[in-house]
Amino acid sequence: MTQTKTLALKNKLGMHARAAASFVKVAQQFDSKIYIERDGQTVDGNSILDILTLACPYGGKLTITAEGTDAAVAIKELEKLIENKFGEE
Amino acid sequence: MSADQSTKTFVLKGVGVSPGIAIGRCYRFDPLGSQISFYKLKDESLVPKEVQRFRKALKESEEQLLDIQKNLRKAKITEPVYVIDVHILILKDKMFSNRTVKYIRDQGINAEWALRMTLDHYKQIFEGVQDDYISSRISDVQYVVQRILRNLTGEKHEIVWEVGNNGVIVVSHDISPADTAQMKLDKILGFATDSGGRTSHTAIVARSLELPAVVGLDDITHYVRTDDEVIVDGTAGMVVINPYPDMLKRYEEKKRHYDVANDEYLKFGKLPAVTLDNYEVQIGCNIEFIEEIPSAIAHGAESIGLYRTEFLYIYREDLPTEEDHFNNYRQVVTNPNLSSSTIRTFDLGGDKFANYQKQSKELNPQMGMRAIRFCLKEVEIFKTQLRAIWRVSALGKTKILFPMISSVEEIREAKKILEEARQELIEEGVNNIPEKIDIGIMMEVPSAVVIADKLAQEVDFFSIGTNDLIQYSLAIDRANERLTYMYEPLHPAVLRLIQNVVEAAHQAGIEVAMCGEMAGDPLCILILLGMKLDELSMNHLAIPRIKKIIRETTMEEAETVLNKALSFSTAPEVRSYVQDYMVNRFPEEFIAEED
Repeated sequence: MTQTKTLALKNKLGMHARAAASFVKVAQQFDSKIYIERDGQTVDGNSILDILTLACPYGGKLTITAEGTDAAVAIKELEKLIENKFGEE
Repeated sequence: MSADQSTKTFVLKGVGVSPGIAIGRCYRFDPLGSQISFYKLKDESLVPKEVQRFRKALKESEEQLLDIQKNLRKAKITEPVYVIDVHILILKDKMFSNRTVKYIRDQGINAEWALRMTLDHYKQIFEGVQDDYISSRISDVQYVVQRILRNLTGEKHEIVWEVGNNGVIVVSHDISPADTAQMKLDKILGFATDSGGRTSHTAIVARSLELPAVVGLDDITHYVRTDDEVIVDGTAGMVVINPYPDMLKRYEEKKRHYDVANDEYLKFGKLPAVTLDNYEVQIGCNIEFIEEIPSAIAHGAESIGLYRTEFLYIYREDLPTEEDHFNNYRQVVTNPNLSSSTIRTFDLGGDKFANYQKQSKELNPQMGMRAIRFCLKEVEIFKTQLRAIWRVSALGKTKILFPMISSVEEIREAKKILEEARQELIEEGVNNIPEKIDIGIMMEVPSAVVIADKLAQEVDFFSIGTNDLIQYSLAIDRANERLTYMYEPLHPAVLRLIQNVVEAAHQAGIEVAMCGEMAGDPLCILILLGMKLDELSMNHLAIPRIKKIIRETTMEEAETVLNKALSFSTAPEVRSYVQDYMVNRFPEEFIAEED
């Protein structure tokens, strides 16, 4: 099963180290493969270094893809994380 | 490095970030240096073993970081534990480890070499990222690589402490929070690092431990090896490697003087700053970190005349929460040895806030969108700080100070927001929010000085920030080295500006303080005393000497010196008069400077 969702970052700092760390921690909980795409560049959602190099700022759009049996839940949890601004503020 | 170089003397200049002199043996803390060997594996059969060695080092590194994190949590260290989280995730990053393993396999090289190539790969990628914040994150990758390398070389204990009981001077490219968490701090005499500035981690740790430190030395790690004799002069911002005997003797002498003088002067710190004819001045201390409070009090501070809050914003990547502010301020205002604490709202430009970086490339940031100007635009960020200040003001005598005010409108607007913050707290049911708080403004923009009488109607006190006032009024860029000769606190214009402020304040019946560097300059003390400033706030080391001079003079003498100084037309005349007068009058206090 493949699920895809495009979201804009709502936390003021964008995808910085702390946010990227939270993302990876959530992504790792799932069996599905997670990918993030931004401006044509696709990276592994389990790699903090890859995510950082996307340099996605506040308001920047990310397309998250999950491939696997728990893809739907994974997308839902990651969406929640982004909507909650990674727990910042 | 050839053998004869080992005893060659090197003198390096950096930035002194924590004063004092330390003399001792170097401990070179930097496994990325020359002791790492890079070699090709003899044949392919060794590859699996090398990969295994690398994986083992990864695992060990992770366990160490988890341990550090646990200890930090246990010790309730406010240090951002999440930084270590990030490091752990880098260790576990498959892209990172697979790349290294691939280098080992494809090129038949050892793990150290492969790791170095991986680091270089990420360096290249991060350098290409437009966002300054992200590109500087390469330092996190570096910390992680260093740790793995340490484990690869078998240096399990990171810091070798078997250097005798005399302690060591830690020399490193840079020192991370995780590194210091593992150091036995009581074995360290001083620090010297290649990179860093006043707010770098090394600087903060050194100041809080009162250990001499010099940072920003660029390439000291290139010149020095473990066990070399090293002198760190944190006051002058200098490091000497392998000093020749005469030089060593001179520095030992200097260090003795410094230590003795420190002890001698500390006695004066305890006494009040009262002139022989009974005029008393309040002596405050400027601080940036709560860790500085004990030394402030030990040196004789009666209050915190300036608590800079920028640090709360700089040393992290997210915005500080109201609780972050509150927890820091609380530790200042509730200290029973301080009569009051003046918290200055943050004096930062947009460049310090990640999401404003792009729009804030300013040609002249000193005159740009910063301090109160930024706060009045970003009201929510500002209010978070104001709310915390209101809350702590219920716990101890607190004053609030707004920086960079240049007009009456600005202070009115700031006061309005301050009151809104108070109303919000009350509406939310927060108890004990006081009716009012002492409000002050920094007098550092010339326009504010000119309308000081009007501004005095708006506030409870003034605090003169001489550093910026001098820079703005004399129109000299403080960062421009070719103009430093023009930066002159004793310029007749500067003296008149200060006098204007004091007179306007006293006419309006409000207090006036000075918190710039001039307040702690012993050369200027009689002039400031003569002007009748109510409070002088300075760095803690300056306090004992300033108190000593005040206690040995009279207001009458101070006024005489002031009037004479004001009679000159040029800065060199003022300086030469004041210098001659002070050196003759207080020979003991000024002799040391001839050194």
